[in-house]
Amino acid sequence: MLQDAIQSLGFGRFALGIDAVNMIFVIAFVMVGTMGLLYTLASRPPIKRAMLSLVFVLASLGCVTAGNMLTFLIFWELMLIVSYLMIVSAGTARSRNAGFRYLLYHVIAGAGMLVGVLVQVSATGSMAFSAPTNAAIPFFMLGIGIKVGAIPFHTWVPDAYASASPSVSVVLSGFTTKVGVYAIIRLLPGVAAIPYMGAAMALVGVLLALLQKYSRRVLGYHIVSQVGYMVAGVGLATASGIDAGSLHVINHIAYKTLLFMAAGAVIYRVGSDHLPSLGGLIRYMPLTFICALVGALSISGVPPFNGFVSKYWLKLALDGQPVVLHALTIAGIGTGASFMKLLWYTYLRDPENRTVSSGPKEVDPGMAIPMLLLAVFCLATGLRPDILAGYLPHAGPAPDPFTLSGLTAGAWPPVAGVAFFTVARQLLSRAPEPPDVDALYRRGLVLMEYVAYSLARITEDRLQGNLMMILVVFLVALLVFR
Amino acid sequence: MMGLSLAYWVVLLLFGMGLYCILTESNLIKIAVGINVMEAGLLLFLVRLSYSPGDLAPLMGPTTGPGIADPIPHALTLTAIVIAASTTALMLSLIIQIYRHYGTVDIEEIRSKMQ
Amino acid sequence: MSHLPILVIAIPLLFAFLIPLISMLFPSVRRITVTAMGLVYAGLVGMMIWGYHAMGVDRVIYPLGGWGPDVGIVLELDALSAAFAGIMGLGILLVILYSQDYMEAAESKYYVLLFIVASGIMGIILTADFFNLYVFIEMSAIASFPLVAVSRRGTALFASLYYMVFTLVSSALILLGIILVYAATGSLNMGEVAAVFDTIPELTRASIVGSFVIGLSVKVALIPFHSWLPPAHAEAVSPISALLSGVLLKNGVYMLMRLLPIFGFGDGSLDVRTLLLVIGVLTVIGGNVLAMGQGNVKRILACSSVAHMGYIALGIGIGGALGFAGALFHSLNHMLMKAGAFFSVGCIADGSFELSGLRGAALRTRPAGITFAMSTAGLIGLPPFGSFASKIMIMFAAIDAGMIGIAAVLPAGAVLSAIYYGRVYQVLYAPSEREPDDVSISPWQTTIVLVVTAVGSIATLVWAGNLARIFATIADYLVG
Repeated sequence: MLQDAIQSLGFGRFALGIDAVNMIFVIAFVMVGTMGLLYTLASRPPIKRAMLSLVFVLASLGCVTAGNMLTFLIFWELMLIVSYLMIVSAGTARSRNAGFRYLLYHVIAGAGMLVGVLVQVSATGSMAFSAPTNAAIPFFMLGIGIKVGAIPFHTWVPDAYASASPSVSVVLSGFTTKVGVYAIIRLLPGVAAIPYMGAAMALVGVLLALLQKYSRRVLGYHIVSQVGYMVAGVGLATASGIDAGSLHVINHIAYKTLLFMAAGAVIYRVGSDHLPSLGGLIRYMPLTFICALVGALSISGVPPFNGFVSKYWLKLALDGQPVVLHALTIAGIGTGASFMKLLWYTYLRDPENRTVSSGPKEVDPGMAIPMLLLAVFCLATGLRPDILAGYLPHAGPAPDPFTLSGLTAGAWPPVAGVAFFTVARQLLSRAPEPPDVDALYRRGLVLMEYVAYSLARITEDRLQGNLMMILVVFLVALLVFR
Repeated sequence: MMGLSLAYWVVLLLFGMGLYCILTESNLIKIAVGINVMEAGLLLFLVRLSYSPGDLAPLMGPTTGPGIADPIPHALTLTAIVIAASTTALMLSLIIQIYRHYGTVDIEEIRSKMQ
Repeated sequence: MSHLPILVIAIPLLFAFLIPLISMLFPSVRRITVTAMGLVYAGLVGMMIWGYHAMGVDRVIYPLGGWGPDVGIVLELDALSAAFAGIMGLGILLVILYSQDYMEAAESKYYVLLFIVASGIMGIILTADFFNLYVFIEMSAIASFPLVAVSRRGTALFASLYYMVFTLVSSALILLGIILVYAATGSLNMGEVAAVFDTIPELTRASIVGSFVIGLSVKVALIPFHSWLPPAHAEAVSPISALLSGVLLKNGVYMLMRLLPIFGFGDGSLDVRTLLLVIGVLTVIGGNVLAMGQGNVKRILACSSVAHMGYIALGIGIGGALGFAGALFHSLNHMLMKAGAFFSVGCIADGSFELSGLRGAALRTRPAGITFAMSTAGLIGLPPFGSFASKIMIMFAAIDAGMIGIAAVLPAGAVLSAIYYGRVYQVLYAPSEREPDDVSISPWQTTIVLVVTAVGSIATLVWAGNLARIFATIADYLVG
């Protein structure tokens, strides 16, 4: 009996494998991992950072190819350790603080996952992936919710990705949340609340992105938003939903990495990503601009780029969920507006102060090549979605998005968004950056530490008071614990 | 309760006094004394266990059996006395060192000096 | 093999008495001699465990002086003893090796006390007689009191006294329990007492179990009996902190694991399991909360030890063999990680251990900086370190027994520990203005110790399957 319990815990039974479900994730991670590593190396980082990025990519691959829950958990936590190290490797106080908060969020996520997995193992007797029992679901929701950046746990995404050094945030941003999406497919199939969770993420992410003043924070909030699309898709647990969500995973990972690369290039050459002080870079960094444009068009779902395809499929899959569908459409409008804003402030408008326009150079080929490759990928998989369709979990029917209805459905939200931005630009620029829930969390943390400090002071060094405790507890034990 | 012989009452008294002393005295030496008194109570308990009224000492003649006091607790008590003596010695030397360092053996004063 | 049990106790005592002689007559070879003695001690322990394993029986009984269990003292080596002998022996060896460099200027009395502790610990593990247990408890404890005060700082002296008073009170409780055992059963042999324990009247049984459990809880520093631990472990010098946290705490754990099955877990008299669960939850949460409020690295590590003892208490309290096995496994892991953490901190900080003065210190020490990160990551409970596995075992035991709430307490403790260890990382690994070439590399002996603890904490996860099976067998035989 006891040995069975040890058996079911599966210590020492390490399993890795690729099957229909994780194939597309593996492809996505390998592709983007390679591009990201090339980009990182081009910025000539210290060897430690390059090694960490490599290990991180490998750990993420290990996570999605895990064959049982224990292996999955181990790689999940390994990803946490490595990504924490990557964030703090920037060496600034800001990155250390962001890293600390990141560590906390993800240790909590890991704790939730651990309890959930063990409840699952206790109920089913094995470490294999299976449908969750009712008792396990809230713990998985906590763990995965934090990992994907569900509201109200989303604040680590912009926090961490904007505070890390540009050379690592490219690699960092692609993987953690997607592993969470993968976890939904494996561990939480069919939980009804998940598509709504995705809808909330999509909306809140976009709303907050519109108000951000730093390009990497904008991108961070958009990660939350786009992952919301993925979550909505895979949360449906239908074949078309999972396929659409998975396609969105690989598409998003491509164009988001591209966008982070472009933003990183700007920081590398100009030194800042503070939108109000940028401008006019189209003249000096036209290559970067084109890549950023491709990324922006992809994320907004403009045909013929890949975001358009996956968003169309998502809309088809969500046919029976009007609430979620409308939320995603509104989010699409917002996305268009937000990226118009990003492109406008960084590249298109005339800068307010002339110092910026003293000629930053274009990025060197080491960075340009991965960017261009990803841009080509976004265009190619947009024009020919069937390239990837075969690798999707259900290799599902690939409805052709290039129909009239499909094209209009894909095109009108971003156009509306651009229009909105043009109209509301002045208003937006005057709006302050909104506080997010993590202000609440930080205060909670400070409060907890204050309580801890007071408790420690009170009980310290009181020899006799504490001795009295022994006596009291002895009597209580004898009386109460019969 | 009146069935308990006098020795057990003394044990309780010693143990209680010692405990009270440890818990309430602020002078370190008195705390050390309290520990000793408490242990004395325990050891008296141990010795009393070996004896039923009317027993003979296990010295001449048979050493075990009915009517003879049990020698094992005597051995245990001797060992425990040695242990108690060494701990007291150690405690007192620590207290002396503390006194040399802080100039007082009052526990409250030492606490305030440490802060 | 035939005489190893007594040799393992007697030889370190012999060494303890030889050291001052050798230091007086041949002072230049003291270092080599002490290292050799430490290796001989570890070797003897290793041989004993190996011999036990080779003999393949459940228990090896070694009567002292040829007297049988009814009149004499008997040493017994069974699987639990073998496991703890391995854990403690390794710990003491590491402490001895580390002390060579750290305490270069130590008087030989330091090593005398260390070897007496070593002897006492083996005595506790091997004895099957209650009063003999008391004697060895006192022996190892008394030797450890001056070790805490060895630095002669005022706060260290007071911490030593504090530790002493608490330990003496707890020893008095244990002595009370032993006296009651003898009064009730007429025997001091553990095997004989176990056989007749059920026949003792209920109130006496409750008193016995209560005295032992509370007395041992003080030794294991469970809340609310923990307050001796933070000052003692923090004010002692680093090798002694490692000794106290890594080895001496496990004494109490061993005794709980040995005695509770003998007392039938208090069934029918005192609900020890529930008591341990309640205390365990309080300790896990309380220990971690206390650690959050500290500003001194060693105090943080000390309060963290309290919390980890809480995990072990939960493991024992859950009641089944799996929890027991998890607690055993966790004892091993905690020894490696906590010793590693204290050893690294000793190398990282020179003089003061206040966090405010240690900015970037971990980046300037090799390999202690890495070892500290690894040990503390293990203490949080992250893979690839062994405590991940032992935590899983304890949590799984809880869930299997239907106590999901208890199972959730363990990762809650991990989250809390991530908070304060995260803060420590923020300070210790902050790159500072000093040149990175100002790096101090530890001497080779210390480096070996650090590497062993770091590699060990990963190895226990790699071998988690085998180790879990071994500990499960031990637990099954004790509790199943």
